Amino acid sequence: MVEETATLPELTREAIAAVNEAARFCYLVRDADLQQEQVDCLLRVKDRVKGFKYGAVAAGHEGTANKLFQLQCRLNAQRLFLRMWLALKRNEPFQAWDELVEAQEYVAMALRAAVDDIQLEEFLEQLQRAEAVIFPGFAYYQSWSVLMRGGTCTVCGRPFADCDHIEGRVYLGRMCVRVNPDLISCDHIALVKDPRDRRCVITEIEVDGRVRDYMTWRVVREVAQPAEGVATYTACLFSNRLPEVD
Amino acid sequence: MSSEEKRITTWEHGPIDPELAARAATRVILLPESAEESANGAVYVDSTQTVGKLLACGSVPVESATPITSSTLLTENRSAVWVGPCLLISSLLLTQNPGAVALALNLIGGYITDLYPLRRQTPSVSLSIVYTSDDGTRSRKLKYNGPASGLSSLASILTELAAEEVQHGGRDSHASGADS
Repeated sequence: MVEETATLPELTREAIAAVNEAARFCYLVRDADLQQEQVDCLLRVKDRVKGFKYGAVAAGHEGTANKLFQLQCRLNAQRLFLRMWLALKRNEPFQAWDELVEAQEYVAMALRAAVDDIQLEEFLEQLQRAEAVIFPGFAYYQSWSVLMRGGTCTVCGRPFADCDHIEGRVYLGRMCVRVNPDLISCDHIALVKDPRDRRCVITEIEVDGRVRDYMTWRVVREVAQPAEGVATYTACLFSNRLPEVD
Repeated sequence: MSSEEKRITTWEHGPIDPELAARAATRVILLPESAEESANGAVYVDSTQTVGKLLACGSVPVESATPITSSTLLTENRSAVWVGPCLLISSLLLTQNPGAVALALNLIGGYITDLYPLRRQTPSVSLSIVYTSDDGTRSRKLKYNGPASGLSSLASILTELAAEEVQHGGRDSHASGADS
């Protein structure tokens, strides 16, 4: 095995160069194969940065590990933004929406990891502009309230109740999240304007006796006997795709 | 209500268990979501453990009303409003360690702001405080709904309640609501 060394500034330059190159392909008219090449390239660079992050973790260099985690999140965000365009070309608008929301979530994670000296805010604005232009907007999202217990900390792997890690904070290049709790029961579901997870969208909605796909507005089916004053909808209740927090 | 608006409502609360009130004299107590325990024990808001860790990390004396373990039931609400646990604050803690309560509220507010860096507005919070006399015989509940940045204003309201407590030896039981 060849041992490789790189400094933090070198890795930052490498990551930002990959991001800038990929940004040239973040347009609808770009060729899908070339976009996929960029997705693959970003994945390779991300894995390389992550490898060095583990080196920093092993050496106990928290600041370096957190900075590398920030780069890892930035690379993931750009990769998902590209995947959004690819999903749109495949006529998968809900998949595209998920990619965009997750890209924004990665920017949020990157902002929490370290001081922003890699123009995260500018990239976020780009994502928000894309959202406004591409998607119809959602007045309401689905939200739920559940009864649960337990769960494990993603930083130390111990029961969340037994460790000192604080959810949402980054420790030695890893973000603390409570994962795998036991879900006991669902108390209620609700339509909310401001959800915790914006992937939980309405997917189909009944309008004037027809059920329409919320994204494409195509008629999915006719309602045989529309009930007066009642409209039905279909929504995503929960998404279990966890971002890369390690 | 937008996340920029702040609403604080207060009302008389029933007496607090004297043992719990005594514990609250030296630390912030994290209360379960409801006074009634379920068949499986007390039910806490899911952020309770995080708040406990956060305050302990910030050197604020804190503990939960009952031990929180991996088998403790928790409620998780997946709206963007951050729902915090109910804090039990004793008049004795306020007078003997006034900085602790202010620090606790600042730590919680700062944590929530950091948690939602993408929000154009400061994130919304829902948090309750039960303020109790040192012996638990009189208590008032404060319900805060509003931006995380406004949480620190609760400290001055609690200080006023403590001053009232000293002046009048507590209030007679009449409910009141106050929006600010």
